[in-house]
Amino acid sequence: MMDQLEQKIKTGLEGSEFDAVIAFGVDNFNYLTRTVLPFAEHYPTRKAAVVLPKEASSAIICPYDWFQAVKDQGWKGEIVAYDENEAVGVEAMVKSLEELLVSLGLDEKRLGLDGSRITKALMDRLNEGFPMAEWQPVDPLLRDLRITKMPGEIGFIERACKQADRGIVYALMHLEGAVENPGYTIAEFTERIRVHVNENGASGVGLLNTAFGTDGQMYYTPERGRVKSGELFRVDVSAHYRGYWTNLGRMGVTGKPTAEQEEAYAENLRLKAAAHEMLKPGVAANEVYAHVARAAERQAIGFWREAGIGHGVGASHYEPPYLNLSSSTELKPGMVIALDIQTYGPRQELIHKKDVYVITEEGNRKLSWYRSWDELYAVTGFRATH
Amino acid sequence: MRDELKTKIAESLKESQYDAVVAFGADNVQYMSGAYLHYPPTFPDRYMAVFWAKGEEPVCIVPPEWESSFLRMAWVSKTRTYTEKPGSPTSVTEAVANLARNTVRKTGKIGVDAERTPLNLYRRLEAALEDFTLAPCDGWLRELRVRKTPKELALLEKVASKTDHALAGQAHHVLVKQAATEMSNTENVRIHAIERGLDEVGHHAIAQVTSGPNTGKFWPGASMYGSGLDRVPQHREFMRLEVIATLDGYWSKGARMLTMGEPTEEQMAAYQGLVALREVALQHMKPGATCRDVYTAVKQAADEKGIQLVPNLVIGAGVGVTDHEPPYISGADETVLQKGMVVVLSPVVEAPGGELLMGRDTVFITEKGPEIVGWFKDWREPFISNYTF
Repeated sequence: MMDQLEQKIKTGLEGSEFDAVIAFGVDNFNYLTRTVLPFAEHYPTRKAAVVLPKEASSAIICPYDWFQAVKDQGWKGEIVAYDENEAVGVEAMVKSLEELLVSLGLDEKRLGLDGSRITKALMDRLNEGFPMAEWQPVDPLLRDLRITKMPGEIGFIERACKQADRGIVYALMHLEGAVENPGYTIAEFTERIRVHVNENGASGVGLLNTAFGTDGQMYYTPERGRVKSGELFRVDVSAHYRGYWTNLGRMGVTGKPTAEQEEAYAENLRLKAAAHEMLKPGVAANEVYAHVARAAERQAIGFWREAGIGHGVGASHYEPPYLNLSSSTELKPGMVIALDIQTYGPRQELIHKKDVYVITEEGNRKLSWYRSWDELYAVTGFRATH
Repeated sequence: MRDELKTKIAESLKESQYDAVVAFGADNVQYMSGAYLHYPPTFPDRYMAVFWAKGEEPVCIVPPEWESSFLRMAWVSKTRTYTEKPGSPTSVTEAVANLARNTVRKTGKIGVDAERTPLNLYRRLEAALEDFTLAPCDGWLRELRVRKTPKELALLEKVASKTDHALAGQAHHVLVKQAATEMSNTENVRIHAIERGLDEVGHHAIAQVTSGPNTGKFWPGASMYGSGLDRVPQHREFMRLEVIATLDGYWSKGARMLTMGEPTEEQMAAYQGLVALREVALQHMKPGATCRDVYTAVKQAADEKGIQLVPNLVIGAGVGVTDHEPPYISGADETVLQKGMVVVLSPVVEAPGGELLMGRDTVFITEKGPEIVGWFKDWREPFISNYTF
């Protein structure tokens, strides 16, 4: 799988006008190197970069303690670990990059970089260090490469979907019979999801949110308090398998769902069905959105319009194509979409059933197929020994 | 914390060269608003900012989907949402421009955290704010953040203390004859952290337990970071327990060593290398010393005593709204240590068997000198696991 992807990237870059592409964004790095860095998004002063020259082999620059991890994931190019005692913060990476670019004869060439990821300060520093180089943003090229997935990439996302869904289900099973006695904190329940996602083989868990009762009115709330009976709840999980992400949302009730809760959930599924029939090649992302908006109006169902109704997943858990009013991106086979329509429960709780689909020649195929979730998950039971 | 920080930032802004500042970095937004949303760094196509004009109330600009979560956690009470087109900075920069026009004189100077702001966003900002002068304000933010307020210090001490307790709490369950896998130990470190009230939220809020040969790597099992492997620790091996945790958005970074049973002489000697370097660092971490002075002293001591200090890494870094920030105890950082700074001291020593030994200590710089906070036990010796029940 990775060989095919490597070839696709190579072909894409060879067809470009650049002598080399240098990517600093964590998601782009992940995609271009097929390696995952340890939580690099959260360390903005510890940069890694990948240099992909047209006429030489590729190289990675990273902090010393990430070197082995990159190597262990099968990276075959050069790896330069920089010394954080030579310079402070990002400057340590820049010094190594300078040496590398000079050694590759790229210091006066036309270089592409990810302008939506590199910071203004870092760009200024590179301009200062390489006054003769011509730096140009290469974001559209990277976007086009990433937006349609190879079969192997889709396979990894499908695995991640299954791992995440199984993790959620296994955690729910622990909750069954335990809500009242001995009781569960929301933090522990959330942690149970995380560990079960990992136990099912996921390489990592990203966004993790469980919202019970009126906390569910918001996108995210801190994990405070205890799980109580009779509450509608939402579980949101993003997780990856070897750098390929899923992003799911599931709903349940502690106890037997009320008629109002069931009806609210059914409303969501009706809008989702409307979107689903539009997930096919040739349809623009904003047409899918408009179709859902019309269905919502016809059926008098309120949904959270500003949030959009979905996004891509791949080398990150949130990426193009974005399904919203303004995106005219045409859906194509190989695009992978987390469909996410948010409607409202009886107490204005956000309701969604976020599933992942790949666009195929015929229409679409669901990747998060492990469980249908066509009904609210009812957490019941009387023995705390599940 | 709200009043303390708000006053500190407002007064500093008043004295600064800027008529307003705008910050896009997730860490800076949190610092200037109090809202700990752990996920924005993983959404590089979605933008959030704090705009703060001199003498005015700060305003946060957020995607509509995040607004209520932000308000729930922030001490900034004014927000603006914008029509979001992920990946396109046009709308968010228009929102900034509207605020600037209403609060900043024409040609006024607006500080931007250029070390966090993506290039494409900055360029759009320049166009939207063409009537104003933009200038980097990273240095100003750094100076604000690097010295903590009393309430920040109190919270950081609490987080450090709970973190050390979590590590020791799990270490006490480790038994040589009934050892569980690294994965099980890893999860139990997290559980002990949660039991002590820490938030294990955010991608990088992780635990990691390694043993034997796996301690020879920083990240064994990549790309499965922070979940532990299925290896069962063996008698006489080292076990390394690490956890990164937060409480109300302030971070701690803990790591401790355990020996599976009574330590061997070689293990004790290697661990004492770590202890010795900590002592040297503490001797030098006094107000007025530079970070480089501290690093140089530790490096020199390691060379003289034959301690294998792992190269190329800083041996300490600040902690606050992130778990890795200035000042850096590095051969390159000339920052002068001052009262109110907080550093997680973290030299890594390679034992003769190749194990990477860590002992992360949270150190406050006080008027009288450095003070380790949060030790659950005296870490001049490792945690020694019991042989059996």
